[in-house]
Amino acid sequence: MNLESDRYRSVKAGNRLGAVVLVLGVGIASQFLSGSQLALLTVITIYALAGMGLNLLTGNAGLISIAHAAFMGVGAFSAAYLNVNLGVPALPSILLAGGIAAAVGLLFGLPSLRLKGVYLVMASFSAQIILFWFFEQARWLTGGEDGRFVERPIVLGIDLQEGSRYYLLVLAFAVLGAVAYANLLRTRMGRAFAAVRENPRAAEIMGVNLFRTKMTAFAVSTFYAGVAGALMAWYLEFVAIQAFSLFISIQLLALVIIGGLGTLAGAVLGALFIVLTPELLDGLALQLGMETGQMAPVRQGIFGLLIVIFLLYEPHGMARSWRRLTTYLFLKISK
Amino acid sequence: MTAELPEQSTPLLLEVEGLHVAYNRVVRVLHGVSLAIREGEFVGVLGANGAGKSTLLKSISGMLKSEGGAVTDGSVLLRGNDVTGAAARQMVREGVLQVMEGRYVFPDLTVEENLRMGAFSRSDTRTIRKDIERVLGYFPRLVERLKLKAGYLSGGEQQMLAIGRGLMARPKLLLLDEPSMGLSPLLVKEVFRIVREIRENEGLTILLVEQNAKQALAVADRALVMENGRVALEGAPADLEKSAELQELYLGGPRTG
Repeated sequence: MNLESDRYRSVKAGNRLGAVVLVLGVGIASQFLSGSQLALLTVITIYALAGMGLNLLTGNAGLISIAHAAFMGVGAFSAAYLNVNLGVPALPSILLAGGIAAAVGLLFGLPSLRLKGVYLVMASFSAQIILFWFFEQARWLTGGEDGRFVERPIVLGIDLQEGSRYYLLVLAFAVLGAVAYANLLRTRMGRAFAAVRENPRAAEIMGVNLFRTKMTAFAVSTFYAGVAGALMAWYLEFVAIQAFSLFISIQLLALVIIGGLGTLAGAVLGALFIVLTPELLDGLALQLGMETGQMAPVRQGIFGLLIVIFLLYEPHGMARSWRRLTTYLFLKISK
Repeated sequence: MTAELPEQSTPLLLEVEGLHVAYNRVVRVLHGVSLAIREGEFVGVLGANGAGKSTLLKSISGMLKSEGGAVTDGSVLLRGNDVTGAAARQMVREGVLQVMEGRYVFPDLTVEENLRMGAFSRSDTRTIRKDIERVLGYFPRLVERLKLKAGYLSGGEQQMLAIGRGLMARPKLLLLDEPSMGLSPLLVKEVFRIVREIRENEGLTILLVEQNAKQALAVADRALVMENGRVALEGAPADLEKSAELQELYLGGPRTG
């Protein structure tokens, strides 16, 4: 038993080392990528951050939301308004945007105290509808149907107009988010999340405060979404409210389910899958000599099919396959 | 009723007085239940399905509210303090803990994580490791399953884990809800042997709710029989076993010889 836990520990240390290498590698590579490659990498990283937030809520605390794109929108327009209209510096704007999204998230999280399962899904559906309706109406904030421009900020004296520089800001927030995620799971609150997900009644009897635990899950989760939304706004520069539609919310949920519920790796792998699969399918279509217009409906179909296949054959998500692979390789090498 | 208590010297730990409980304000389940437990006592509550046994436990442990139940009259006193309607997390801190049936383990967490969750409300986290070892002393079967997900355990093992998880909270008053539920006769015997062992070593006060009257009477110092939300009989196990009524209702036919 001791030997096994030693082995387990070294696999864990290996994972940590791998994560550091990955971050450094991605950070360096981002400075040399082409424009379109960098664009993909930026979207993947922002979605990974939003995915972490949703995974805390859904994967760890067991509360489903199909309104997370709307919470990203709250963060996006809050940051834009604070920074561009009110002149608040960029970093405080991002954190405040997260805070505003968390406040809105708390409000829409209240029904979770009474509702669960499909009923909670319906409650978050209405949150999405209400927030999106607000985006449409609040032209002073969002530009309504026309969208709005958001100028990229100067952070700590560095002009982030250049995409590769802006990416480093995105990466920094994603790393902070990842470290916070991993640490939160080790705290008392992290254990309360798991207990509430597994069996709320048993959690209650162990002394878990269900109200505080669920509200914390919503607040932290929507804070992540808000920060991711703020980063998305500056990445896009021209922000249309469609970037925060119900479709995107459902994509985010698909992201955490396919990536792996309740794990950090799941959020990252899920983001890779969600962003890259359509791109790869487009590339494939081009190779086959199809026109982009012809490909669009087929692409959606194949994408949907891939999701179903994943759920059937790897219900614990890509994170599980990834762990199997790395553990296998590690044991092979360490022999 | 007080006159029947065995040891007058030890102080009262729990007093339930004229408790009335209703669910959703209309379904009345308890109609004036009273009982008193002295420190260190082992009291059994017997009764058929729907007699209100579990409701009685929930109204003591603070789990009534989350099922839509409420105390409409009467009171629950712990060491003389009124705790009627207190939340579960408050009762856990006061040392009152309900062990629910085995299916209430956390299925996707390992046995060890389940045990750790039991200590959730404790502030003295340094001794948790030691307590896990102590608890595993009662349940040697769980030792080799420590890293296994609780959902993969057998029914009996889950029941043991549920009890062990409860002990991790270091309760003073343990409320056991039907530990024999769904277990084979052999396992029921083992679980009850362990419960007795725990009681002897830990100096716990135990309130046990059980349909298996035979086992309950064998371990308890004193027992109550509930019927339709009231206490119908109360006394020493030996006396209750002789009672014709109980024989007929719960021990399988009239007593011969």
